[in-house]
Amino acid sequence: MRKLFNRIDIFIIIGVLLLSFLLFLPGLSDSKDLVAQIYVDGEVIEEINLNEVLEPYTFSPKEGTVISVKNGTIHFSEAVCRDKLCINSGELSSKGQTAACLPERIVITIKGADKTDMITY
Amino acid sequence: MKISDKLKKIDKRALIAVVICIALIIGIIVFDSVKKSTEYQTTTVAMGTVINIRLFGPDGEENSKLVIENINETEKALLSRNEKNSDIDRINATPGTEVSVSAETAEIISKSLDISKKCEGVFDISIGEITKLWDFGGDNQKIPSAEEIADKLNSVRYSSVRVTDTNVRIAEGQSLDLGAVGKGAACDRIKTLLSATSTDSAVISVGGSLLLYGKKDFNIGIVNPENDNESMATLRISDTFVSTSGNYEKFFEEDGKTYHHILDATTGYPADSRLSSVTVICDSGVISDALSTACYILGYHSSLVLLEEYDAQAVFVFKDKTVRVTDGIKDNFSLTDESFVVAK
Amino acid sequence: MNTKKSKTKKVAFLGIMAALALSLSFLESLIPPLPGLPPGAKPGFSNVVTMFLASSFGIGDAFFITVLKAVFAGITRGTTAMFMSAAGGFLSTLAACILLRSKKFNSGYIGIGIICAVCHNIGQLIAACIISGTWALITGYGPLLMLFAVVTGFVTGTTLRLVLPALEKTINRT
Repeated sequence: MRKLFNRIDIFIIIGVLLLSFLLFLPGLSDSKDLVAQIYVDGEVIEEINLNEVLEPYTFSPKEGTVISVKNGTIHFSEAVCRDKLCINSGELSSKGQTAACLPERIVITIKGADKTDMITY
Repeated sequence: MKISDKLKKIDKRALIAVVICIALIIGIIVFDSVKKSTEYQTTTVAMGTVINIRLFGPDGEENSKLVIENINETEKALLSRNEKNSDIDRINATPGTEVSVSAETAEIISKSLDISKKCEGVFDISIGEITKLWDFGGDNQKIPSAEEIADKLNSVRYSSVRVTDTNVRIAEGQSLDLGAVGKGAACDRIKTLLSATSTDSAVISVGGSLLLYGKKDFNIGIVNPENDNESMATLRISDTFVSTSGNYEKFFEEDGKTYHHILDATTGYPADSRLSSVTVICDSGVISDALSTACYILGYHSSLVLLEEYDAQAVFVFKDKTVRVTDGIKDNFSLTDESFVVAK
Repeated sequence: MNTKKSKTKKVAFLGIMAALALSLSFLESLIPPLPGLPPGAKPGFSNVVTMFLASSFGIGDAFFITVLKAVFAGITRGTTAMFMSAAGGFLSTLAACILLRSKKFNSGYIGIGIICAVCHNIGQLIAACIISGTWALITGYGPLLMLFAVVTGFVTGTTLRLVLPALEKTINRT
């Protein structure tokens, strides 16, 4: 019979942690600005710079689904699906956070704003 | 049996030790190459303007020194008309006679003349006598009298400038001013320089005219004509030249009227345009620089043919805050300032 | 031993396993959704059952329970959950079949548990991407799902190691 834990397991754990880290890398950027991207049916329909939101507001990307935006955060506030999992995902307020309403095919992800490399004048 | 078992164990330990060592060595090599390929960034003043340099690849510091040297050379040896014994100074000093210049200067002048021909002379490097009258940004900045301009306007004639091989001759009374193409020419020369170095990619701004070198995609901001601390849009592009002409760069006000530095060579006065800026993207620094000036003067509709001729793309920003983008870069363009509107 | 009797016992045993897997799935669905994980993504503790079946009973039986779990998820939590369960379950059962039966792959149970959990989560992630049509979910949910897999894999691997002797004894008695 196999053992519960041996050396190979250590390498497996390190491998998985590395994979996690690699998936984390693309989301990194040194920008302080948070930009929320809203996907509907796989297309970005809206990009919101959360740092530039002054007044809180809501909008509906699809019948029955409501997304609330205020300075620095964004979240699903109303949904038509029965489990309301997207609402339970809570407020998104840092880079790399994601909330999805799979039945409605709506996804919100937060990324850093593309910073400008150089300005032409 | 027992001894062979022990040997096996030792072997395994040795194996692990070797694996760890190899991992460490690979780690160090990777770390080192990452460190080497990091960015080197510097800002300086040369050619009477601000130079921003961002180099990606090994030896950034040494290469950036070469770039700055190269820019100073462009000014002192080739293009400045205030620098004694530069190519342009020698041409201007002896009108009517052929002057032998460097191949680079000859090429810059021929390219400029070519554009003048194609835009019916609204852009013209033989405008030297007129720019001297206005002296934008200089000590004698003033509105010249109508007589003065009428007097000197005859000297502005690109067809009188002759380039044969590396010999250049201007007519009596003429003088050349390569201010409108100097920054672009510097970018062209830097590209040649960088291709001989280990630089992987780079973005360099010579007073707002940009060289994008290498495969790396850069986010290029287009300055907001109403607030030059901000950009109003970004272009995601690589391996090209970008140049912008706008009415906000050099100007002065007198009697409630604003006079900007982009002179229409056919009138001798600042171009009267509905545009506030034009950004041109193409594969030559001199041409993008010259085209941005020419397009600003010509206006949107007349510019399209000219741009097509040079396979160039452009972003037009109008005074009423509408924006027009040529088809070739529509997908690379995105507005960042919501107060501007892209015209349909 | 009478083959007919042994077959009856086998069916009865599989029934108990199915009940166990479904009740574990149900218990999991009571866990409130954690922020940062895709909706419908579950730790997959019921994988212990499929892992056991894959290692000591039959590959076909393992996949049968996987399908059953997906159908159960479909009935109780909707079609989205069904696809997520099917994708995650299929990949992790496949990994369990290959790894637990391999003589050459001599890692411990925790290692195999973790690999199965990673496969389970990758399956769910791919399903979520396909359903939403948004591949950005990979970087959005991926890092946390992988970390999560280490924890759940540790739990399932350890559980399997603890219950395996007892379960194998039961099988041998039948």
